Amino acid sequence: MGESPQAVRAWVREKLIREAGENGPPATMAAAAEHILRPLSAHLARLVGDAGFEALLARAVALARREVPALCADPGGGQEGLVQCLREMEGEHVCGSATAVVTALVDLLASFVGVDLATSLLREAWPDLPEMGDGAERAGDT
Amino acid sequence: MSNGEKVTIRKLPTGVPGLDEVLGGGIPEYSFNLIAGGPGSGKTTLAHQILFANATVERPALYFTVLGEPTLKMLRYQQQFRFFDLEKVGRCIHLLNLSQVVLEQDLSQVLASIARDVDAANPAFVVVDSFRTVTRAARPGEMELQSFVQRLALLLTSWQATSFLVGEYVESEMRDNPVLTVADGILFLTQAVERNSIVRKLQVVKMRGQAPVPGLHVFRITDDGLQVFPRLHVRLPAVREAKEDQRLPTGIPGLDEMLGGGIPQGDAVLVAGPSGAGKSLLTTQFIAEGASRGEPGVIAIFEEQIGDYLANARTLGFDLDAMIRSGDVRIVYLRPLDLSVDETLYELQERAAAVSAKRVVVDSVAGFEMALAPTFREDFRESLYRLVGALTGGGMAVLLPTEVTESFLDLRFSPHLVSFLADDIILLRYVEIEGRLRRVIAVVKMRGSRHSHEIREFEITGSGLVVGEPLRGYRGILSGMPVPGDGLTQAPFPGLTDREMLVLRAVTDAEEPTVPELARLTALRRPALTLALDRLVALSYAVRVKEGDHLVYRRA
Repeated sequence: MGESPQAVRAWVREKLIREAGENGPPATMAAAAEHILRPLSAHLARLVGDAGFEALLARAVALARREVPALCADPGGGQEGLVQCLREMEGEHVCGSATAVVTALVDLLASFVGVDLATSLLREAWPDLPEMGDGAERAGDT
Repeated sequence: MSNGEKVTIRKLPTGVPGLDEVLGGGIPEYSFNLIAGGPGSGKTTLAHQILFANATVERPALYFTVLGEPTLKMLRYQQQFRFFDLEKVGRCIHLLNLSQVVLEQDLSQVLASIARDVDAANPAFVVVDSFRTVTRAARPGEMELQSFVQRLALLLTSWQATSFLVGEYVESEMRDNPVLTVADGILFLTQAVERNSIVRKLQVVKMRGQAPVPGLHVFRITDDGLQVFPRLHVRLPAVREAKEDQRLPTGIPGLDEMLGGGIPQGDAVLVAGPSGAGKSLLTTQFIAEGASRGEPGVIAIFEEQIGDYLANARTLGFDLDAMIRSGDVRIVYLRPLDLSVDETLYELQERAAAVSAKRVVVDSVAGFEMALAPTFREDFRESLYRLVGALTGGGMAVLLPTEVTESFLDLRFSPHLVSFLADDIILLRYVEIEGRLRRVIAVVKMRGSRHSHEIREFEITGSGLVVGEPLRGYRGILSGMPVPGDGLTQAPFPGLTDREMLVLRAVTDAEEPTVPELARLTALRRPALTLALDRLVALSYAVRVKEGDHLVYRRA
């Protein structure tokens, strides 16, 4: 995950903290993560189907675990399963885990369809998404 | 009320080179079409190409994906094509996944889901890819499927959408299929593997309201997407009846004299000869002469790369590079080894049209054959006939150099038995005279045109091919092993009487004489003449051939 675009990472982290506070409780932080993921899952599911989105999310979690080993190995249940996993984590890891998963998801999408198209697709869900760099094309290679 | 005006159906461009021509002008607006074919035949690429050519923000497209290729992978691969405009995705072309609805609900729910999206987006174009999986997943009965397709067609047409169902159908399924009955247009794509080559073909099975070009049309998929090569109607010699008797000089003085001034415009000329005899030099000189006279030329090569070909021309004393730079000459290199005649024709006609070519060289007949996919090689004569017919029908003079194996026993103009399609035949040949190998040239045939019957010696010089005087004093030159004189005086003819020698000489001197002609030439009475002829035939000095109602005699 070290090659994920820093701007996206900072944007995700800022959104989480803005909603849940710097050291917000796990449940609040998990809810903030859910609020970020919900428009994305709704939008991407129209494109790739529910099963397609779940598959992408599962891979994003697996990639994020390289950065945050405390993250559940296989939360299952898609977005709900991930949120439940975040709720049950120790407070200090929740923000980092949520940031890592969302960033990995962005990264993963860009690795499949390229940065330009990924940005275009993601902006429909997140209009304020910042520009992504070239590093996004190398998700999963780390 | 009626003023007799009929509705005009707007034809939308497909964005696929060659396809609009095959369709009869384009895709009819508001039509409900099926793009069918096996896996990997190019269905999805075709649908994308049409959408990217047409969809705009004001006239958007909805692309429903269903259980087939995952959407992300489809986007990943399709964006490799040059027509794929990233800016259009999400703005002009909206991708929607129908898989879950199809898996979990029945066809009426699928239809309702499509209707909601169509209502919301108001698209001008709709694609369902793959429609086959919609019907497979729902496992409907025949009437249910018929009803679904009918209602879907009604919905999309009512919403003024031009729509495409993409489906994996094979030819055997094309009958009694409700989708095919309802569809206004059906495009069927196939790819046939033969030996190591693949030939892709497209057929417009139907296209309501217009007249598509019938038959199978070859297409190719490149980085630019699909390109269709319409099966051309060969313009037969009727077109040429109106041509003026204009000659195109070859730039080889002696040869032009033999040709009566040059090669007639619109003629196909077989330039036959063994390797190294001077075929390339002759054809290059023909092209160079054209360039100097403001008669542009096109050279199609199949065996050599363009760089090598130009280098060879330089060694022969011709600066084809300069002629290309000045726009007088175009060279097209074609050697994918799975070429079709239509593709070759397309390339040649494009180049020829670009320079208004009067002269074409297809170098060589054997190279063209080798470059063709096996399926076209099987009927090589038809392929060559169509190629030559289309080019000469357009008024171009086409030179076809063809290599023949030098034989000292017989005379062949082409190993391909294609001499029938040549209007003219120029033969180059090695002959052995007094222990030296020399080159000779002859104009063997010029259809409907007077020409020299001489056999002339020629040389290859630094300034090109130089044709000399007629080679006299020898007989049997084209056999490759001429003999001095008339061929009878010195040659031994054991077993012949003086009378038989007299008859043999008459057979040799006259052109396929009949018995009455021989009687006149020899002043022999019929019984003696018949006896002598029978002996000559029996001893294989002469052959008897039936020509129409007559028997004629030839030297064996």
